Amino acid sequence: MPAGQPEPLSMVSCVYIETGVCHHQRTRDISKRMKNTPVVEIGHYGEVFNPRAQNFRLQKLNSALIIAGKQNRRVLPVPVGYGLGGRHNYYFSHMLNCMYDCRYCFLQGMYSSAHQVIFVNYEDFAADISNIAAHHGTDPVWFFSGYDCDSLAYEPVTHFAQFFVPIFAQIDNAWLELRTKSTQVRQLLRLKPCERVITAFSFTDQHSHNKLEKGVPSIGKRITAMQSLIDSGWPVGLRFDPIIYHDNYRQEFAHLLETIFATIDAEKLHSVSLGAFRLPKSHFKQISKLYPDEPLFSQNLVLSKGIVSYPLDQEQELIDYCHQQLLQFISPEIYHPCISTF
Amino acid sequence: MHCEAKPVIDYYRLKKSQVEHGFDLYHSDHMLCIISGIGKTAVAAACAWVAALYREQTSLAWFNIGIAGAADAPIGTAFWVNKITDYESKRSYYPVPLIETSLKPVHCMTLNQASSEYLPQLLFDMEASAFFVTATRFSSAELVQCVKIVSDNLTQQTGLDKSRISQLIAQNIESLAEISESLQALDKLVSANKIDDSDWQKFVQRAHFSQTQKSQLRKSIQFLMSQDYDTEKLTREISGCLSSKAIIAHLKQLCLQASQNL
Repeated sequence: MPAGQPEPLSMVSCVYIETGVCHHQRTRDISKRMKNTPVVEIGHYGEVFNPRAQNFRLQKLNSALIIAGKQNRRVLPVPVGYGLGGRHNYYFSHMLNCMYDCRYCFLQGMYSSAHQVIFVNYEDFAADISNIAAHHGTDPVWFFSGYDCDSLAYEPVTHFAQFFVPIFAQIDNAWLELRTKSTQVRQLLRLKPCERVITAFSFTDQHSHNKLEKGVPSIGKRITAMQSLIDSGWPVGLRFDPIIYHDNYRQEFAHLLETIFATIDAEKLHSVSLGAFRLPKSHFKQISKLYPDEPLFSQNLVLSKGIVSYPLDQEQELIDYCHQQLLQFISPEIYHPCISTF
Repeated sequence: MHCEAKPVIDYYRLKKSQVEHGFDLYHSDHMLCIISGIGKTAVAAACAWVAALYREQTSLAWFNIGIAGAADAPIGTAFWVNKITDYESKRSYYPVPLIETSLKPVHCMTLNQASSEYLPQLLFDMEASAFFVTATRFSSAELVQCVKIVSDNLTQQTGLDKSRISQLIAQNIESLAEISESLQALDKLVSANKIDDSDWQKFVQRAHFSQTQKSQLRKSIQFLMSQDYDTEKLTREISGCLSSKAIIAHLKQLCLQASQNL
């Protein structure tokens, strides 16, 4: 599929709509795209999303869509270690959950439901972002949008970037990271590029992609999407997080970099980050229960300071190797290690 | 009610249990049909009773079949319930839309008392909310489903005409069987990686395991059984291990070998 073409949206089994946003224009627009899908009115998205007696793995077989309004805690400080070196870092989520099914993803352990939630009150998010940016004067403030979801994967339905990029373009000290595994860049290509909006593409090596990333577009298609953004003057970034250990990770990672940099000019990159596979203890416990058959969770993993990850020496070897390989292509100034503790 | 269950009992050729007397229970190898009686208390008690009786099962899927009243739906129409509201508590519950069915979805209101005051687009019954709340204490919500068949509406009342009620259920038996199969398929997925109690005993009796060790043991066995191992092969693997610690260490090693290339 050429870059920018809409990816086929996985069919949702049902659309739940909060009574409070039933008549919202964005709700109507989204509903139009789901014409033959049953609609159920709900009081609050938590009634469907939060009950504990749900099986994320089963729901992933055919998840539903929940359209809701986010009434509070819309923009939050990022977890410790998350970010690109800026002093002021926040995240916000116009969606919860993701259309892709990546086995390493912490969302599987964070939420009991695999349904995807879309918060349609973008204007309230925008007001909060504007207030926070103003609170920091002229200091640069980073806003990360891909923490609880993929920023762009659902763009044809949500028009998230279409709404928020012009908002960020108007706030001189606000920076936005769109983090994605999708090729949904068509809306961005229609907009005027903004140097403070970074589209960061996540990659794992081909072997990990084949084994662990269900529904994610191929590496080649994502590189093409990335290049089309560069060609149009958009800043882009690379995210190698998580790096997964396997027998052949060295050759696979080196090959991934060769593939990317055969197309992408490293000079044009805004930032690159990498981090080893890691999960908070509680999320790991939950996810490994859901997927007892998954080799990733039977690897040599240890618990340290509440985080389950590879033993320190193995993690160090993994990061050192990948870092060294990266530095053959990129300048150290744009490299940022991922040390987020969630 | 027995008249609601009769078509199901006949269709699946279920046999009445002569051993259990708390509720009338009919069964085959992989299916149980419990007749709860009318109302929320009865259905909650029946669910809890079955769950306790079959607590050794790796997983249980639940299916509530019953009659309901509606304002305008034709008598005999079957609906799959995708929203349940308990009239008394005002709380709503949402069965997960994961089963395959051609039945139309509906919102069902559960009442303590029978009522003939119907509202458009709603079904009225006396069990669904308690069934859903109780069954989801024992199973994941995806495995808890309800189908309601219209027995009364504003123009026609079946009331307590037992043979007519049986007939209304019987005429929808294919749709009910379709959902039952879909539920069983989901249940199989949930059970797929769980260890049979008899298999588990074979491992756990080999040494004295602490609770933490049991958890490690279960995790390793579950993973290895999803790979190339079965109970016999695993038993052979650990036959030389003389302590719980040695068993766990050996299984861990096997897990590492099987997982290092993802």
